[in-house]
Amino acid sequence: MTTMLLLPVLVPAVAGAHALLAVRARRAAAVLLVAGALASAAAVALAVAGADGGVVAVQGAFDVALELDPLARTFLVGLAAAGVIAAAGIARAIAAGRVAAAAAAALLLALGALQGAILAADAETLLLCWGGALAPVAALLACGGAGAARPALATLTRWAAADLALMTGFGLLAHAGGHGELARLHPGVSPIATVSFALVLAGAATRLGAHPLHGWMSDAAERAPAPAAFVIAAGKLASAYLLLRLQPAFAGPAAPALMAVLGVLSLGPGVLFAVAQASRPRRPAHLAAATSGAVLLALAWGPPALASALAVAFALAAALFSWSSPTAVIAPSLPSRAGLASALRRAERSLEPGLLARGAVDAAAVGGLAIDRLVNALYDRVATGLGRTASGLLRRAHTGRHSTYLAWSLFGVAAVVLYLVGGF
Amino acid sequence: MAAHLDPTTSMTNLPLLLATSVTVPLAGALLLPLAGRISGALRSALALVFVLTALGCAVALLPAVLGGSTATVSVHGVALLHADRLAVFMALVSTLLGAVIVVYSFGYLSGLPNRDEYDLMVVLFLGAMMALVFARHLLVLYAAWELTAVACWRLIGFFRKDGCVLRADKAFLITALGAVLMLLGFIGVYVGQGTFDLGRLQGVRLPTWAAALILAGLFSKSATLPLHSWLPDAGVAPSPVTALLHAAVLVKIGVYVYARLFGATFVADPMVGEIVPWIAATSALVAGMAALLEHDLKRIIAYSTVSQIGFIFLGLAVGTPEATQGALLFVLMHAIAKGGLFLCAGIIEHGTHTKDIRKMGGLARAMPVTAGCFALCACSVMGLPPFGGYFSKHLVISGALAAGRLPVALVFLAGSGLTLLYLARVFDKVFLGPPGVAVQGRAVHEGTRLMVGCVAVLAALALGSGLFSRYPSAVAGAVARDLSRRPATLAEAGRVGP
Repeated sequence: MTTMLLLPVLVPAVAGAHALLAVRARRAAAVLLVAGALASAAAVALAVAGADGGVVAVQGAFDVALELDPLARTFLVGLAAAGVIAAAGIARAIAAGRVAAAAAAALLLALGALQGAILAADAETLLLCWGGALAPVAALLACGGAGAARPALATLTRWAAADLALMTGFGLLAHAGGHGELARLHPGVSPIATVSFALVLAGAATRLGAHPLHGWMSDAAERAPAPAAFVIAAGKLASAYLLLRLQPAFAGPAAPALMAVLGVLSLGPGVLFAVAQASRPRRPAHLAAATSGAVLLALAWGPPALASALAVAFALAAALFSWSSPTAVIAPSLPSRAGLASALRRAERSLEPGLLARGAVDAAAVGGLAIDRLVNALYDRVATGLGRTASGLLRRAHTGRHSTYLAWSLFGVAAVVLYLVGGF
Repeated sequence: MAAHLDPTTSMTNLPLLLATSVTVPLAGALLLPLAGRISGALRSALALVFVLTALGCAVALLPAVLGGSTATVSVHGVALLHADRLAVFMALVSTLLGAVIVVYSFGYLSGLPNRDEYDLMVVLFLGAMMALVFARHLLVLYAAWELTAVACWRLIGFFRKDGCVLRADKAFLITALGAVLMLLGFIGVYVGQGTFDLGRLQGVRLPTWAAALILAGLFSKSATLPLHSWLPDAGVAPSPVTALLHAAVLVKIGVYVYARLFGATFVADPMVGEIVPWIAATSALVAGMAALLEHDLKRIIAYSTVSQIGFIFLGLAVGTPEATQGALLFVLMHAIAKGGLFLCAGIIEHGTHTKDIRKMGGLARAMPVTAGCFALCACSVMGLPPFGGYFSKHLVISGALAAGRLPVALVFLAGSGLTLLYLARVFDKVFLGPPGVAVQGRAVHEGTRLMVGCVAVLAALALGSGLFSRYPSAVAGAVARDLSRRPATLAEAGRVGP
């Protein structure tokens, strides 16, 4: 039954809504989280068993369409498993008071949205579900502990910016192809296809945590280790799935080349940066970036089955880190490494696209403010020159003792005008 | 007043509802200063009753107009007011936000002087807004337009300090200048067609020079570059005023009149449809960039309004059903979310006595509910799913793409990126990090329950309007179909003017 496809989206969403009621009760939230994740896994099992390959259409602001193909099945099961593992780890952290109880609701809502993204049959559904995970993911990370809100906001900002890139890429594809159905996207070999793939890759690689778009991952893992483990795992699965899903559509050599470049950039430096870390929670995040590089290389050069297997295996491993959060919190520092390690840490910071982009954003902002100031200066010139009398009159009227009555009389004039209009 | 039933009207009480929705707030506003002399509570209660009456009438009109009925109110044989889907949709948005903001004002303005005039002007403004959206006659539209300018002028200068008065004057001068240009355009129409009746002007080809004059007026009111500079300056007004005038209602007047004149009535030169998206795109980008460097909380939100209004103009100017539906949905979603942001800014300003975000910080601990509501409203303005803003933004941009407007759609996507950055920056500076100088040593706390409740309602609506977007989307879709169909149909019927 195709309606079974709705279960992996609805069950965690409903469970998340119930968990919202327990934001002040830690133990209840922990229990609800584990129960919700298990129910979600059961919903995925039912969907996998019951789906008959058809498309489910749901009417909304625009039509939402879901379908389950063999590729989606693998990733859906992987995500549900990662959800259960991470939910258990985070529930433990909630019960121990290291993570806020609201994390239970956030995780379940994020899980529902990401499962929807894997089931999406068209670009609009994908963007809706993909973006629908943003707020829950940010909330989940913000629940991670003291000082976690800023990395959570940074993650939200970067993921949302990545989504805009993704949206632009899909927009270009839809513009070129005249539709947004994922199964029928065949842009062929053209400059617009390359640009759109680069944008889609940028969007996916941010969630995948590939270098140099990985900055959110290490910062989030440092402040909110347990929730970050789930976010890293789920981001990896959803992004790898998206790239695999779109891979057949991009026939030219540009797509594998771009993925290979990002893969190499992530794999080597990821391992090096992980070794160089002085912060224990940052290390798994850098290892996750390295594994993302391996997934990208498999996507570029290997068979799809290898990329799928790597993505699922690495995601499950990343989810397991949610259990290691006590160590990360109790002993956050590793023995400090000087020399090369320190240089590597500095290099990692300089790779941060936020820093690289800051100059461009600042320049743009200065430009915008300059135009605004110019318009204001022009207004001042006009107002002080031509409009001095009018301004003076207005000001006197405004500050006068009987200004209220002046306003009344203006209203009276308007009423007279309205009356005259009646006989116009 | 002799109200008559339009031939297309199937329900006899529609003209009465229409007349009530306009006259009750307009006439009732005059009673408020008198009521204020008896009791402040009576005045406030009456103000709310007048606004709720207008809201109730709009709600009552909705099923009928969605069913295809219309209503007209005539005086001495001249059709003055007319209710159709577009008008009722705008009236609903305006009065819904107006009612929330009037309730918020009870807490925000308690103890301040000039309350009599404040309530008078707020209700008068909403009455004028109702007259404007239901105007069938161009001179009624103009009179209501000017009335809103007067109310706006008084409300921006509410605190009567020099800086406030100067900025109120600036807003009045710019919008009044725009109104004069628009009036010249209307006169041009009258000279050509011999009527101000919008019903009789349907399908008439608008001369390009008249279109340019009318557009100048619209851009001045909707704070579109280069006539936008009054809007950020108007942040000196009390926060309910900024929310009402500059986020929720006033700036939407220009957008509404654009939809009414260029979408539902006249047939304009196709060049208008080419130029307007680019003006809107420039406005969206420049304002978004300026917001990135601004430090005044309310100015940032005002720049954001200038930027977001561009999206609405884009959708309306593209003119396809999908883009128009997105633009109309945007009117609602933006009004809810931006109204919420301004009201949150009011609570923050109330608590910290500053608008400088560099002096804030760490307010999430002191104001957790406000922080949460701000986050929800900001998510909607950013256009994150499943908030309401996402659906409207998506429809506008995908509509532009479907219409072959790729370059301008890309500019607006860049504008969305800027929205994301400046709102994230505001949230970071205001609510996160260590406490700023305005917070240190001060017992900062949430606003009154009434104020926080109003903000919570808007935040819930920002999320709920996305989760249940099917319903507002259906209404916006019905209005969009009207707008997309009307001039073409009439042109085909041979009613195109010279």
